[in-house]
Parts: sequence; structure tokens; C-alpha cells
Amino acid sequence: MEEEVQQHSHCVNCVSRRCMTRPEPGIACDLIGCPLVCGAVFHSCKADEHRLLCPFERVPCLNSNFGCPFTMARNKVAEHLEVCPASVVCCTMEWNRWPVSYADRKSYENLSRDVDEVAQLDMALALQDQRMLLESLKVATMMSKATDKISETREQISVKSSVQEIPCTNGLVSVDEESYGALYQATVETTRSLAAALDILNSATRDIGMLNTSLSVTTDKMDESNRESFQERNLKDEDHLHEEEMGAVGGVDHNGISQNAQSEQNGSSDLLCDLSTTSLGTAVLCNGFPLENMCSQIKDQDQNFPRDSIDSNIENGECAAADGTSEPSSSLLVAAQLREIIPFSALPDSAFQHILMPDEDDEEDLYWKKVDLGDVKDVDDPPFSHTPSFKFLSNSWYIPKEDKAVDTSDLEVAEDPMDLQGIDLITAALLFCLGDSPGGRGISDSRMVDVYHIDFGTQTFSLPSAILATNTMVGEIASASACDHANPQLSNPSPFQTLGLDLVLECVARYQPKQRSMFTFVCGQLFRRKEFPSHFKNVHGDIHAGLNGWMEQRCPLAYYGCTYSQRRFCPSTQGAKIIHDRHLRSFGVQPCVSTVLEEPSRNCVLGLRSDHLSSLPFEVLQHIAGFLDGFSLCQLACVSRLMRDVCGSLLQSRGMVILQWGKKKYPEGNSSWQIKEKVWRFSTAFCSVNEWKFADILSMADHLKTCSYNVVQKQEEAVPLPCMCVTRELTKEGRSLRSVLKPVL
Amino acid sequence: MPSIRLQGSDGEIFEVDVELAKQSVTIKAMLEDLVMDDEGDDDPIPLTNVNVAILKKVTQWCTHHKDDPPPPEDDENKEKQTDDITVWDQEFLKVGQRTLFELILAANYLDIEGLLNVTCKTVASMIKEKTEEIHKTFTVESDFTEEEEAQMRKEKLV
Repeated sequence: MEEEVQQHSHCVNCVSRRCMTRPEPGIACDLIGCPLVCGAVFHSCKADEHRLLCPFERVPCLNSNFGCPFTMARNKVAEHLEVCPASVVCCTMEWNRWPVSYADRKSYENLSRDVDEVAQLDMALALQDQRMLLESLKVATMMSKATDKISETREQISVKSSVQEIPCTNGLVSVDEESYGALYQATVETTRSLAAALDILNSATRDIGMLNTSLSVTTDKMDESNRESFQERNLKDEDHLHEEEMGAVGGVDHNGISQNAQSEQNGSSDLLCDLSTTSLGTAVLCNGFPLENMCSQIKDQDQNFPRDSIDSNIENGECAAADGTSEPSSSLLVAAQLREIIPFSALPDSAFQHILMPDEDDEEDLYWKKVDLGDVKDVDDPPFSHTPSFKFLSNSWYIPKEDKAVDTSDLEVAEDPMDLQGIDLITAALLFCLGDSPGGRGISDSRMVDVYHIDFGTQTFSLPSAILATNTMVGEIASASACDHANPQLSNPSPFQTLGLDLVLECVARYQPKQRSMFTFVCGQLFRRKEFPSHFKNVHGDIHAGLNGWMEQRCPLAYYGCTYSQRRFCPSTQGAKIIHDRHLRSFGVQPCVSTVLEEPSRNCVLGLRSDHLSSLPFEVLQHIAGFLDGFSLCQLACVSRLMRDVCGSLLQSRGMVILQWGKKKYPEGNSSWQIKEKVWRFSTAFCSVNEWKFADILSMADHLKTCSYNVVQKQEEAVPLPCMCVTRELTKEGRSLRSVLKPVL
Repeated sequence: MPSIRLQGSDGEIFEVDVELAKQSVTIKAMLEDLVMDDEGDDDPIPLTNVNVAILKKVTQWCTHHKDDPPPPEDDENKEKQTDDITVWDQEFLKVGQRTLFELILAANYLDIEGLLNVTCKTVASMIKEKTEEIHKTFTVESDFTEEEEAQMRKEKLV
């Protein structure tokens, strides 16, 4: 109403450019032209209104709230949006890799041996993916926070068990309930179901052991009182185990200010959740069940337990001390022995395992039995000569279990100078993600025993959920598995340089279901809107697609260790080549400059070259930097302060602005995300490569002539064909060849 | 053809064709400001920031490019390429770093846009490497502290 009072009654509805109405106070005013000479003519009372429409009016960019500092004429906004620094596009391209299969591990160690400067693009990208994978697998553990939060956590979880709660000493992944309440509950439920599945699995594996025949009794009976106490503790522990797992899976301890969290806040990170890590202990689990104390109990009961057989295989879920000491070592160590006796696909001929079985005389007692696994090799033909008794199934509850943390210091884990908390972190990181990958180690080997389809546990460490449920570092589990004497080659002294991922990258569409063991990597890099098309085309369409032997061609004998490779394609620009920068995690184009002759330094007594570049005027340096792409500007900005200032002056015209979000908590208890600051940076885009050409290189055949792995076998004797061998035998008897050859139908 | 005399920073006199010299906006402005009759003034034009050796190189470049069309208006939104240097220019600029940078300074002082662009593109092509190579190529010392370098490496920010 106030506006209408200010507007003149005539002018409100008048849009004529030739209005002849005489100006009268309160009724009408005179006509004026736009001060910016846009051509508009209007009553003077509409001047402010016209500024909302005038094409020459300087207005802030539409992305001003996202950090764009520019103002421009309204008719230039559309043109500016194409190059707006706040118009940032995040590349969501994905690619996939398999972990290196067990059979190929040796050849990959050869391939990535002594690789300091990675000039091979496929290896560079694979190592980059591996580094990102390792960073994303760090699990945050704060022992003190975890201990404090356990009680708080339990209040939130509805514990149905009425057994006495035992304080968990394993240490759990701390959870920020406020932040991750819903997710926390979801992971709790998931872990609960997984724990139940593990329970069934272990019960089944124990039952299988009891079904085996031709056992030799070697252990004493368990003390009745101990067994009862074990029963009680077992019940408590089972519930307690659930609680532990419930209280921790998926939990995250966010420091909030960690670098990678910051970069994730920037929205430019392509990593999974990155969490700071301080591991203060290790909970040893075997397929989700702690074994330590149970093993010690069993060990103490068995006075006649052969020391040698301690190192024998123990059925999954039940362990004895591996090294025969009174103090049991890591149960994982013992469980790892399974691998030796029950390999992925076959059983050895004369393997034995010790399993807990009910006493034939007294079914309530348990004793150790030495099982000849040779009898269970042929699962289709039950080796039993009598009807198996299933009464022991009810005794499974009597198997003692107790949660106990294990100090893995006796595993002689070498200190990792790179603070990876494990020697073969890469192995553990990759293996723990393996599920039923055909190239990896299966969780269990399914066999038919006595019409039961039973799974023999073959995995030597916990399932992922169990790992997340404890403060066990992935690296520590890897250390435990590395102590598997049957597989010392799993140890990886250089987790960053030895490649554990397949060199071949695959592109599986996002909507397609992928195998659990296949890793997915996301580009996640940020670009100015105008840079994105060339990035996608050159990096993902040309380079990534060409790494599988097309652009980067490897020697055919690479599997045997030959590291030779050659680049078959290069940008059409004379002499340019593709390079990879590890710090920027990006590819770039390096042109080949005609050799600039080195002039003798006449002014310098020592003959050293002087820094001519830095002596150039600032505006000249700006002009030079104006010819550089984002990738090169990132490199130049790290040279010196002067170059950093030069590049900084180009940020608004060549860089991009990214909002950094931070969570602000209010005294009332609620919280909200707010923009902490606006960060300016260059993208990693390089100058567009419009054409590729064949590089001037020799044929791979020329390399094979001198390849050290190309061992030519010259057969001096004739190699008999199988069919000819048979016919030769037959014709020895004097029969003709025609009579022994089968007719061709 | 009429010619003018230029005096370099080292005091030497260098004579050059007027039309070639007028490719330099600086010299052109000087000529317009100075009152010169048809017989010509014998006083040479002083160029205190450029020596005769570089002047000769500049003249050589201007002679080759005397018939070039005027360069298009600089569009900031357009991606600037460094791979469009002609073969002749590439051969012409196969000189030492010191000469190359003196050519840049001369082109900047004399305001010869084409020469400035091609020399800057050449240097830009040399810069298109990793940080370590830039240090080696141009002998640039890093004046960052270790903490700053570590922080830059972590953040990958400018």
C-alpha cells in the first residue's frame, strides 16, 4: 500500500514512450530515458523499477552466494556463467578394478619393483587408486572415547539379554551418536544380523568336526566346574559379543578438522570417508568370535596335547595355542593355520585337525580328537561307517568362549615409518574386502558331509563387520595373517609401491550390480564448467580407455616380470606427451620444447645459471602464466612465493571457488552446516588434446628380441603328439595304421 | 626506404627501416612525438633498456613478420594455446635462456605484441612440467618453509 501511495496514479499503468500527460504532483511525472542509455523511456517514478530490468545495469553474478566475486552488466551474465569460477562441475566418472589374484601376486611384485618415478600411465593410475583405497580404509579408533562412549552407546541400544553386561575391553570404534544416529542404528542392525550368521557358521563348522570318524582321543575331559562357568560365560559372551558388534559397526570418530575431512568438506574429495586413526589395541577375532580365552582354557585342559599337533589345523571356530606356549598367542595366528590345511580348493592328503568333540562315554564332556582330514576329502562319499550321532549338537553351547583383547606385539610387527599401523596393510585392506571373488580367498569352502551342506571356514581373519566392530586396525589384522607361515608371500614390505590392484581397469555402469570384491573408484575432481568437457574426453575417454594395452602397450612377457612398456599414442602437438602427477592425482600434457641452448654464464664466477624467470616484471610473468592450463598453474604455484603470487593473481580469471562447509553446534543442542570459508584453487585440467597420433616407436617385436624374459626353447627332439603315441603303441603289434585310427564321421 | 637510427643501451647505433620499426608501438609513439623533417634527424632514438644485439634479433623477427595481419583482440575467455608457434619462430627462438628472456624484456619494452606472445608461449611451454622440473629448468629457488610445502602438498591449493 505504501508503494502504491508513492507511485503516481497515472504512471502505475502508463508504459507509453510518448506519454503526453502533464506532470502533476501525486498524479503523474515526466518521462526520462534510462541513465545507462539502454534505450528504455519511462516515467521518472519508475527509475528504481527499471534498474531491476535494465540490461546495462551492473549486477552480481548469479553464483555470488557460491563465491563468485564478479559483477557485470545484466546482459553479460549468461556469457559470464560459462566461465564463472563458482560454476564448478564435479566429475562423477567411475572405474573399477579387481584386486590382484593370489596367483598373480608375484608377477605384480615384479612389475612394481624399483619403481621410483612412475612413467607408465597404467601403473601410475593403479598406484594412485591404491593409495586412495588405503586412505579410505583407515578406521578411526579412540580408545578413551570408545570406552567412555560404550556406556552411552548401550543406553541407546535396546539390549534384550538379561545377562550381566561385561565391560568391553576390546575397544570399539567410537561413534558420534549425534551425528550418525540413524546410520548408527542401521549399522547396528546390520551387524547384529551378520553376527547371527557368523554364529550359525561357527556352530556348523564345529558340528562338522564332530561328524568326522577315525578320531583319536588325546585330550582330557574338561573340569565340570570350569565347563559350567564356561557355559555361563559363553552365554554372556555371546550376548556381549552382539552388543559389542552392535555398538561399533559403522561408527566414525570425526575429529572434524583432519585434512582429508576438510577436503571432503570442500566437496572435491573422491575418497570414501577418511578418518583419523589411533589404534590402541587389538581384539582378536576369528570369523567374528573371540577365541583367545577359549583356546587357553582348552589348552590348559589338555595335558597330553601333542605340541606338534598344536600347529595342526584347527577347525574354524575353535583354536588352540599355535606355538604351544602356556600363554596363548593370537588366535588369529592359530586360525591362520587353517589356510595351510584347508586350502581354497583342496584338502591335503594327510592333514590332521584337532576339534572338540563330545566324549562317547559322557556326552556332556568334551575332549580333543585328532581328525584325519583325509577321510573328509571326498565329501560325496561319507567316510563314516556308522550312523553319526547328532547328540553333540546340543553340546555346542558348552564350548567356552570369551571375549578378550589380544596384544599383537608378539607378532613382531615392524614399525611402519609411514604410519600405516601394519606391514602389509595393502594385503589386509584388499583381502578383507574380498568375499567370494574367484581370484581371492573364499570365506568358506562348502562341502557335503553326511547329507549336510557344511561350510568349512577357510578365511583366516574376521569378516569386515567384525573388523569394524573392534578397534582392530586393518594393518594389524594383516600382520596376523602375515604370520601365517604357509603364506609368507602375503607380507608386503612396501604397501605403497607394490601394486595390489589389477592393472587393467574396467568400467562397469553404476546401475549394474558388481561383485563385492571389485573396487570402485570415482574421479571426483572439480573443474570449471568450460574445462569439464575436455577433461572427460581426454582423461576418461582417451587416456583411461587406452591404458589397457592400447595407449600404454606392455611387453607380452609382463606376467613373468618384464616391466617394459611403450606409449603408442601421443598428442598431435609435436613432441607432447602425457604425464601423471602423483600429488595432483591427475594427468597432464607436457609439450616438447625445442632445445633452448645453454649459454655460458659470463657474469657469474661460479658458472651457475641465474634465475632469469624470477627477474621478469610481474606483468610479464602474468602474461606467461596466462598461457598455462590449470594443471601447469598448480605446478607453478608450488615453485616459489613469487610464482605463487603470480598464479594467485590469475585465480579469479582461471581458477574456481569452492565452498568449505563446517558444522556449527548451537548451545541449544542443534547444529547446522554453514559455509566456513571460500577456497580458491586451480583445477587439474590440461590443455585440450584434440587429436592423437601414433608415436614414433619401435615395434614390440624389436623389444622381444632383447627381452631378458623371452627365453626361447628350442626343441631338438621331435615332440610326439598324444594321438600318435597311442597309435604307435597299437601299431607295434603289427596292426596297420588305418585299422587303429578312428573313422572320421 | 627511409630508415631511423636507434641507440642501444650499450651506446651502439643501429639503423632500421621505419616501417619495421613502427611494428613497435613504443618507437611508433616516439616517432609521432618527435618532430622530424624529410631529411631526417641525425639524432638516434635512445633505447636504454635494449642492447644492439637484441635489437638485431628483434629486427630480424620484425622483418619476417612485416606482412602479418594485426593480431586478433585478446579474448580472456578463449583458451590460450601454446602449440601454435610456427616452425620459423621455433627455430628463431632456439637460443639460450638469457637471450630468450632478454627478447621478452625487449618485446615488452618496445611493445611488440606478436613477439611478446611468441616468446611468452615458448617460456610457458618450458614451464609445462612438474614443479621439480621447473626448479631445475629455470634455477628457481624455493623460498617456502617445509611446513608450507607440506601444507601445499596436502591441500593441493593455491
